[in-house]
Amino acid sequence: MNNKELATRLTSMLREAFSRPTLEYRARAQMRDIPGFDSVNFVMMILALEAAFDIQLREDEVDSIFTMGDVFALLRRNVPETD
Amino acid sequence: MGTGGGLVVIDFSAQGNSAWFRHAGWSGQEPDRVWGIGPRCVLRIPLQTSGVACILEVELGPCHAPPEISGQIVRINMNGVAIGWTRLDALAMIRCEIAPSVTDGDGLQDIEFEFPGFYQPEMLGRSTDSRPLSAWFSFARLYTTDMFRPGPHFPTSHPDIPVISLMPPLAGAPVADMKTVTYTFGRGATAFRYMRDGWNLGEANFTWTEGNVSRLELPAPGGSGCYALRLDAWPMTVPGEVPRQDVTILLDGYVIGQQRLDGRSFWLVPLPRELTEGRTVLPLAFALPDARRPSDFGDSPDSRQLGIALSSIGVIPLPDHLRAAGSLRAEQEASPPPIAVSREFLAVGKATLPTAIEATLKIGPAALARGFESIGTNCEFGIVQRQLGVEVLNLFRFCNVPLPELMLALTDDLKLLADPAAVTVELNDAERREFVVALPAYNLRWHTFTYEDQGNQETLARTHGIKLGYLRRKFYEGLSAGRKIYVVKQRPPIAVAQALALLMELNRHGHATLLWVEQALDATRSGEVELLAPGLMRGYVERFAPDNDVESADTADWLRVIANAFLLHQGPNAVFREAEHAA
Repeated sequence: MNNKELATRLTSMLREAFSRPTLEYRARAQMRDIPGFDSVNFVMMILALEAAFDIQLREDEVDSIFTMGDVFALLRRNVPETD
Repeated sequence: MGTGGGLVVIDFSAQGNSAWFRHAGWSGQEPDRVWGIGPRCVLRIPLQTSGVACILEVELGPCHAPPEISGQIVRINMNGVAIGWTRLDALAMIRCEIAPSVTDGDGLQDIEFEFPGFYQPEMLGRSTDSRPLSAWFSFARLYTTDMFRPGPHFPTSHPDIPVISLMPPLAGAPVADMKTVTYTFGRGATAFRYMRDGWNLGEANFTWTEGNVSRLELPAPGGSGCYALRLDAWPMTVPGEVPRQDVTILLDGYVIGQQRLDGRSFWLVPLPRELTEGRTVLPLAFALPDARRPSDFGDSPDSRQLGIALSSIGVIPLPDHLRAAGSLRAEQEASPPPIAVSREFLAVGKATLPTAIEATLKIGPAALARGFESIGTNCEFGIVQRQLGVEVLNLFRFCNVPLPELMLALTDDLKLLADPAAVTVELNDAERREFVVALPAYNLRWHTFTYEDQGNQETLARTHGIKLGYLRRKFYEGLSAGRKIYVVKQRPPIAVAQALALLMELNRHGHATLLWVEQALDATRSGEVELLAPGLMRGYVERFAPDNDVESADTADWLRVIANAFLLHQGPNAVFREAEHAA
């Protein structure tokens, strides 16, 4: 999956996890600033990412998520890149 | 004062010279003796050995109460090197030769006497002496063998007093398959077949001791190594009449632990290797001088003489990196001297504290706080993390859990958290009613920060059930990774033995470090942290926030504590970890 596809997929999943159909991916946007953000939908997002990409995120990786860009970088490290 | 290059004689009588040599762990002077207090006492003797062997002769008598309490186990170390051990069941003179490699050729010789069986006579109900006594000393001699030979010119103080020698210290690597064995109590439970006299089998899920002494003969652990008992018990109390139960636990006639119980408690009792190696059975006795009949108070029809109720006893191996904890007899009254203490930043004011910490530790307060994880007993430290700008997902961060229930949940591997159906949601009784997620089987309760008018009970139960299942997984991943320091806030203070039980439980999954935080009785200690054993720290804050106003937590006080814990973790605690890796 290339970067563009990954960003598109992530945006879609963020919209669903936080019930914000118009949410846009911005690398520097703080996760905590997403309207409606709370620990429950953050966990739901983590579990959804793990299921969608067939990966398991380590606890220290999850603890290092602050921004949307952090989520993207995390996925990039875990999901093979293709052209 | 006896001095000289090759001979020092120490007289412990009131006319003697022992005050010059007693370094730590001694009572005040009595007419004919001085007592060893607590688990160890040290003599510091200036003796030039010039690289030759020494003879140590010590005449001492045990604190004992035959036939129940046989005596004391005595271990002798010189300059940090184990020399040997013996059972001391009566007044005797110990004589041992010390190799030149152990002595300090030109300087001070530190002779440490360890007594894992010390006890407070008061807790046995036979005396008002509340000192943790081990043995009383009448004299000691240390001399070099080039000047003197042991013999009749150095007799005991009475011809009937035997001279005994030491057995070699117990050492060596533990066997690989050391496993925890847990015995449960109650009708038909696994401890039943090992109970001897002094039990009442009336209850299904636990067992009361009955009378003043209860005996149990558990199978000894199969492998060589360091073990401890982990007990889960609570006392028979009657409000206003019987506030607590004092428990003294003996193994083969030697005291291995004393505990004052006023509520349910998990605690750890190290087993001296001298009493477990080569045995098939552990003959345990519980002495309970405060056992009473409930029928003697009020309307209870229960005429059994009850002491404590036992739910389980685990025989647990101490992991290699926590073997040092095996030498801790950890009653509150005999809190061990810390390995190290960190008292940085105590005088730094609130305004400049973050800058001072960042300048010293090269890490900002938020990053520092991320290295810690709350495991209860309420959400005060979680709030402190928030005030320091840290938002992390941790299982116990916003959880209210009394310590015994936390232990119960951990010993069960939090299995019920993996079952969303076990999670319930209820409204609390605060002025603005908040939905609270609960796991009744463990008595765990979490804030949802969702109020009555904001949520739906069914939806919350489903979503929080999933969330808690994930946080359980994350909790154990964190324990295995061993990166964090786990923080437990505890009011009222707990005995070291209880903190050790929690530390051991966390260390089943990795090399965890535990920081337990108490309110400082002395305000000048606020912010201080002690390293009591590898992986075990105790910190002090001046005050805890009220339970109904945790937002008022003193962030600066907590910040000092975690900064000092960080320093100890990077310093002396890391030395233990590195030594373990090297081994």
